[in-house]
Parts: sequence; structure tokens; C-alpha cells
Amino acid sequence: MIRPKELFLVSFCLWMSLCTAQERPTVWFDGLSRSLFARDAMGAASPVDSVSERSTSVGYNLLDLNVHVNPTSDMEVMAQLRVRNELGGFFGTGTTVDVRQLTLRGTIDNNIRYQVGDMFLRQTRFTLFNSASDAEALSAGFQPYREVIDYENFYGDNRWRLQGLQTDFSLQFARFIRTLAIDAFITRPRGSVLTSSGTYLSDRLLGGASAVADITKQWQLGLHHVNLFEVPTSGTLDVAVRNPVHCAVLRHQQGGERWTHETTVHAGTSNRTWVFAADDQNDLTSSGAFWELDSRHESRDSLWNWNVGYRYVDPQFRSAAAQTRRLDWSSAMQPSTFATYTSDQLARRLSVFDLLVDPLLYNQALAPQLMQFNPFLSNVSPYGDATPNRMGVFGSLEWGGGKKAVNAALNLTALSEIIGQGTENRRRFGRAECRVHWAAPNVLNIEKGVDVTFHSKAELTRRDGNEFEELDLRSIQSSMELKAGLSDALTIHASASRWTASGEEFLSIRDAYGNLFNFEAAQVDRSDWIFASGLSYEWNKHTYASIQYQWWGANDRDEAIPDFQYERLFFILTIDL
Amino acid sequence: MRNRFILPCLAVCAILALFGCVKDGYEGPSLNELFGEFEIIDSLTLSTTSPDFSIDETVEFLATFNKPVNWQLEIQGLSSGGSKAFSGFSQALDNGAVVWTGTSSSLPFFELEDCAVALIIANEGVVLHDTLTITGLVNFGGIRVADFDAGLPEGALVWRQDGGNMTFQLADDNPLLGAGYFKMGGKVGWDWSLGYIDIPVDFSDATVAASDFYLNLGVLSGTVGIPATDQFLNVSISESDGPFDDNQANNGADVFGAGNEVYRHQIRPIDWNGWEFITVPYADFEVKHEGGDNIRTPGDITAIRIACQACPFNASAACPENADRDVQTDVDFLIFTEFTDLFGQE
Repeated sequence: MIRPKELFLVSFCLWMSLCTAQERPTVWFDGLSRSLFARDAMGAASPVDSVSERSTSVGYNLLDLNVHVNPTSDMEVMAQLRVRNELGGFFGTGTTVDVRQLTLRGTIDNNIRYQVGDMFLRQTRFTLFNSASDAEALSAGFQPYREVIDYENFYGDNRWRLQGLQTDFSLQFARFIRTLAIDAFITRPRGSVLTSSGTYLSDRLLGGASAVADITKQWQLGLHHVNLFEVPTSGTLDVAVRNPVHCAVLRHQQGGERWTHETTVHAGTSNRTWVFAADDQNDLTSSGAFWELDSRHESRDSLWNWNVGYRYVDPQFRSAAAQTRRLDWSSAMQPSTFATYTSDQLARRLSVFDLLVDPLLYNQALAPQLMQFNPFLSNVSPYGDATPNRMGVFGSLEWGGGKKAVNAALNLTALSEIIGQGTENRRRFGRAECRVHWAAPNVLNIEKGVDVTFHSKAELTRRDGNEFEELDLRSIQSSMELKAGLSDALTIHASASRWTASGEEFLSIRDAYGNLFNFEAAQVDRSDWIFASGLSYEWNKHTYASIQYQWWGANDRDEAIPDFQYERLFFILTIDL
Repeated sequence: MRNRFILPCLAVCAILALFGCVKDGYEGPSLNELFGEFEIIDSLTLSTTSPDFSIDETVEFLATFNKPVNWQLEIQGLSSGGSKAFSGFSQALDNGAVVWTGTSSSLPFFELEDCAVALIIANEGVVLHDTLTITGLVNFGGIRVADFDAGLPEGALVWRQDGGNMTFQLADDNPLLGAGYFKMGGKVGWDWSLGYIDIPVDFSDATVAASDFYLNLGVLSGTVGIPATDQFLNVSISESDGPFDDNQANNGADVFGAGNEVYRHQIRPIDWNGWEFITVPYADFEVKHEGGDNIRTPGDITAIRIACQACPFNASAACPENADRDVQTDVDFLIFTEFTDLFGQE
């Protein structure tokens, strides 16, 4: 039986063939193909479990075929068709065909660009930005997994994937300012949805505009605006949210003989209002502001690069498109492998291995409320640079610039709360992050050299006070990868990652409108670890095959939470078409 | 040039810093209160200990603590085993925050009986106790279609196959609520359908949306033996404005036939022992027959059919065991509620 999707695909390909048969250079293809296989097994140190299966395997093959059609020279239609076959799927069973992306883009009079459909948008770190997730520092050696997660969730270049209409153009002027670039978009992050309770959620829209002017060669001024809002008439709820955010960016660049300097000031305001339809219910509004001064300096030979800055983000600053997290710890996130363990079938807590390998844990939907975060993984800036209720200094120092055998980077952040939570005593935060990459040629007589990468992030949270207020939380994420080239394309690699956290924190409990009304005391004394080794063959950066064996687990000082240990055989073949 | 930039920048920062000072006070509730010593300011009291819910009396529960806590109030019928639970996070139970009208959180329903009341503050290890006596049962809010206490609903039609051990009759030996219920069951090997009851209704006063309109129905199974394989109830709702039963030649009412606006929902499978109470919003009913305006409109509902069905042991190879089992899908207390299901009512 031919299903409608397959019929559509065949028709589409036929039409494409006709187009190409007429020798019109208007159709071209690219895409990606991936085969992935993972076999998980209980490790020898796992607790007794006579209920769960001892091992399990999953895998799939997929083809994402991007069909580009250029009806005219200034217009392109792109459709990404996905054919995916689960491991063990035959003759249609377990096979899916989806349209994963559909975009029309082009230019009008070679001046105004536009796109309709799926698009990837980003503005400033305070208005529209997709911040990195919690366990980045642990990902050395896990680049294939990282690419799968980013690709499957459309996390490219800190952009959010949205659907709508976008246009941009730029103007040049003879006087007063040199250029003016305008960008505007309107998207619909969520359509009207019927919930299980029988009510319809309203359409949620995100609109925005930017105007960036190069005033002189040194000075640049940008004005940005986004607004996440709901259309009450499209649903049956009696409440709708509005969240406009304004941001001004003033940038000054100056070049000298030995250094180039760039200083940027961000400043802006936000307003989030829950508008109630009932006359007797007052709207709930929270307004806040932010500003940041960042001074960056780079040596002319790119060997040195450093910056220092100060940031202030008001406790009531709310920017849905910048504060939405990739990992929402308030949702029911469950491990996809061995979700329960021990003969008592305890629910297994997520480990950092799950976070590094499972794309289904990640979120793609913008939310007007602050999502719950895990303070043991990320407590200093859980909502990126737009994290509310933070003020303090930050800086970084990089050396190497890709020209030296050793490249090193150090990031330091010292922040504090602006207003205490549950007490007038305020938390103080510290974060130090270090990355070192050593590309050593001719080590141990290995002809193609050895690459060593070390990445570590330490976070410290403290608060003074009495026995109920005092807290001290420390966490360290570290990973190291060793790669040795056996030939131009073939490398052998081994990596070790470890995350430890100990201390106590209070989780903020907020209501549906984001009001903080309770705290939940939480304590942790735990370490997660991953060891991996394997072989990779790389045809080019995006076309490679890798086979790895991984040992991973977690140890908790709390005896009520049994330790666990698992192993995984992992194979991936990725082909960039 | 550099100084020309730095100075204005510092001035801007100074101005911004004025808006960037540390703030006094704190967000959220006080940690000292939340995690400090717990005290009961006013212990648990009840506005009445002998409520007569049949005349719309209610019971208000009152208590005050020195700090906000997670609390749970449980009322347990000492005879019926019925229960009602409230929960919340607050510093006091006051101002009508917890008012009981005599409803239940689940089956069974309360009887005229003594009840134990417990206010549990689990995090503090505190439980406050009290008792009350129900002197009159609640009249549930909603549109009561059939309680089978005084016979079948007016105008109702019953049709059944000529199978074995067929029931499809009123009974009073094990009602869910009140004095009677309607038995639907038996043994039919050649057809999925065993029989049904059609009830004409007038819901013209209902103005809520389909998503806020709930069907509530008690279903009894498993008391005559192992439940038959894949036995279920097929509930149909007709919005046809045609005559209910003009054609005497067919089985049952006319308004459920093709061409009429009919929606249906299957309670499937019915594999439990004893009474279960089913609630489903009208919006979850699927289209059975198109007709009329094809919009689920509670105010337009004119008839309800409750059909008993099961896997036929002769016509299907999937359930030979049903030859030895009687189907049982007895029903009681069919009521429609607005905005919430029956157990959601306070």
C-alpha cells in the first residue's frame, strides 16, 4: 500500500526529475545521511537488577535530502525530506517519511531579502538567543553526539528555529550615517493547541525588528526589539501573555598598530504582562532592565585575545526568546535507556551521559516563564547572559589563535544576586572555565601527531546567613580527549569526562505566571563519569565514521540512591551530501 | 580618540549604575519561615460537624500556622470508604479556601455515616484529626440523565439480542448510588452488539462549550465471573432534531442512524472488577455520523445511546474464551456536568 507521504515524495521527485530533464539548472540537492547504532549493557558494577533487560540496542538510518529549486535567479524553494528507518524496520514498518523543513527565500530587486517558512533567528544575547546547554564542558570526545543533538534540535549558531516570515535590507547614506541595516520578522512558535483538559491554548507569536547603523567606521548603533505574545481569540483560555523586550547596542571599534579594541554597551528593558480577560482580575506585570559593558581586545597577530566586562540584569527582567533553556528540568525528562534500575525498579536519575547523547531531552519551544534548571549543573548563569537577578564582572583570556601548537582559553565570572531569594542575604557566584588544546606533532613517533584537549568548568555558589539561609554549592565538570592520527584520515581516540557536585541549594518553585512562592531544599554529593575510546575515519569535517566503546555511570554519597554503571558500543556514519 | 570614547562610556555606565544597585528585601517567601520551627496558631476547626449536604449545607475547614506549608486535608467515610482530599500550600486554611460540599474524589461515594478528618502537614510530621457526621447526601450538580432508582428514564428504549443469560434490566442488588442500576450483559457469539439503551434528553439549557461538558457514568463489571475479552460500552450522542422514534420497524431510536449528527466514545476495554466511574469531555467524542452543523454543541444534544458490545466468540477467532464468559457492563448514575467532571466538584 502506498501511503500519502510516500506518494507525495515520489511525485515530488518525479517533478524534480522533469525539471532537471529540461536541462534547466534550477534544481540541486544536498543533505545529510546518518547511520547510528548503539548497544547498551549493564556494567559489572551495576546494582542487582533481575527485572530489567541486561542489554538493549537501538539504531536507525536516515537520509535528509535537501531539494533546492530556483524558479528564478533570485528565488529559492528548499524542502528537506527525511526518510528514517529504525533498526529492525522492514517494508515500511518503522519507516517514516517527513518534510522536516520547508523554506522559500529570495530577493526583491536585489535589495530586499525575504524568507518564508522555517528559519533560524538570532538577535542579541538579551532579546533572541539560544544559549548553550548545561554540560558543554563535558563534551570533549563526544563531538558526534553533540552534532546529532544540535542537528536534530536545529541548534545552529545559537539560533532558534522558528516558522514565519522574515525580511532584511540595508541602505547606504552619503551623510550622517554610513549604512543602515533593517531586519524584521514575525513567527509563530506555537499554534493553537487542544490540551488534554479540552481547552485550546492560544496562538503564540514572536515578532521583532532590528535596525543597525554604522555611524562611522568606528561607531555602530543597533536598536533591537522582540515581542512574544499570544492571540487570546485563537484559544479558549482567559489569559494571554505579552513580553516585549527592547535593547540598544552601542559599539566602538578601534584599531592600533598592535591591538584592535572593541567596546560594546548593551542596555534595554523588558515588560512581561499576563493579561486576564476577566474584569475582576488584575493583570500581572513584571518589568526589568539590563545593561552590560564589554571591552574586547585582540592583538594584531591574533595571538592574544582578552576581554573584561560588567553586567547587570534586573531580577524582573524577562525575555522569553533569550531565557528559554535547551533543557527544561521542570518537564518530565526521563532517560531513554535503562529508565529504571535495581530489582526495585527505581527511577534512574538523568546522568550527564544522558544529557550528552540523547537529543530527545532537548527543548525547541520558546516559553514565557523561566524554565526550571538544575543548579548542580549550571547555577551561575542558567539562562545564559540574560539570567535575571545577576550583577558582576566577567572576563576571558585566550592565547594561541589557532596558529600555535597550544591554544588556551580562560573564562572567569564573578556575579552576585541583586536581590536575595527568601532572605536579604544574597548569593555570590563564581565560575572559572578553562580550555587547552595541544596539537603535538611527532609525539611518541606517531607520524600524524597527537591532539590533546582539556576542558574544565568549575562553579561555586555561596550565601551567608543562619542555618536556613546558608548555602555552599560546588560543581566541577572536566573532560579530556586524546587523539592520535594513524593516517591522514584515521584516528584513534580516548576520552575521560567527570562531573562532581556537592553542597546544597534551594530550588525556586514558581506558579504558572512565574511568581516565586516556595523553595525546595536540595542536597547533592554525586559524581558522574564517562570513559570512551574508539576509532574514527574522517573523509572531511562533516563526513566521517566513528566507532566507540563507552563506560559510564554515577556515584552518589546518598545510600538511598544506588550507584549505577553501564556500557555502550556506539557506531555512527555521517555523510554530508 | 580612545579617551574620547572611554569618558562618555563611563558616564553612560555611571548613569546605568544608578539603576543597577542592589535591592533591599527579598524575593519569594522567607526561608526562615519556610524552614524554621513550625507552630500551629489555630488548630483544625470545622464550621459544622453534622452537615446535611442535601440542603446545600457545606463544611468549611479552618486552621492557621506560623508559616506557609504544604498541607493535605483528607476526609474518609468510616462506613463507605469514600474519600475526599484537598491539598495546597499556604499559611492558613481560611476565607473559604477549603469548603466541602459532600462530593467524593473517587469511588465509592459517601453514605450517611461518620467521617474521619485528617489535616496532614507531612514535611513537619504533623497530623491534626477531627470527625464529622454526614446527615444528608449531596445532590450532585449537573444534568442527571439516569439514576435507575425509579425505573428507566422516561421515553427510554431498550433493545437486546436473543443471546444467552441476557440481562438488560433494572436491578437493585448492587447499585453504585441510590436504589437501582441497569444491568447490560449476556452472551452473544455471532455479533459484537449485545444490546443498548436509548434515552431521549433535552439539554437546551446547556450553554458551555463541548470541552467543558462532561459525561459521567458508573460502570460495573467482573461480579459474575472473569470479564469477557474486549467487552466495552459504545456511548453515542445524537444532536439530530428529527423524531426520536418514529420508525417502529428498526431496533431502538431513529436519531442514531446514518445522516444524523452523531458522536461516539468507546469505554474500552471494560476489564475491571466492581464499579468504576468514567468521565469524558464531550469534545473527546469522535464523529460517528456527519449531519447537522457537525459541531459538538451540548445544547443541541437530543439523545444518548449506551451500547453493550464484546468480542463474539463464534464470529471472531480472537476470543474463543468468551464462550465461557458472560459479558457484564452494567451502568448507573449517568450525569452530565459543566466545567468539571463529577469528582472535580468541590
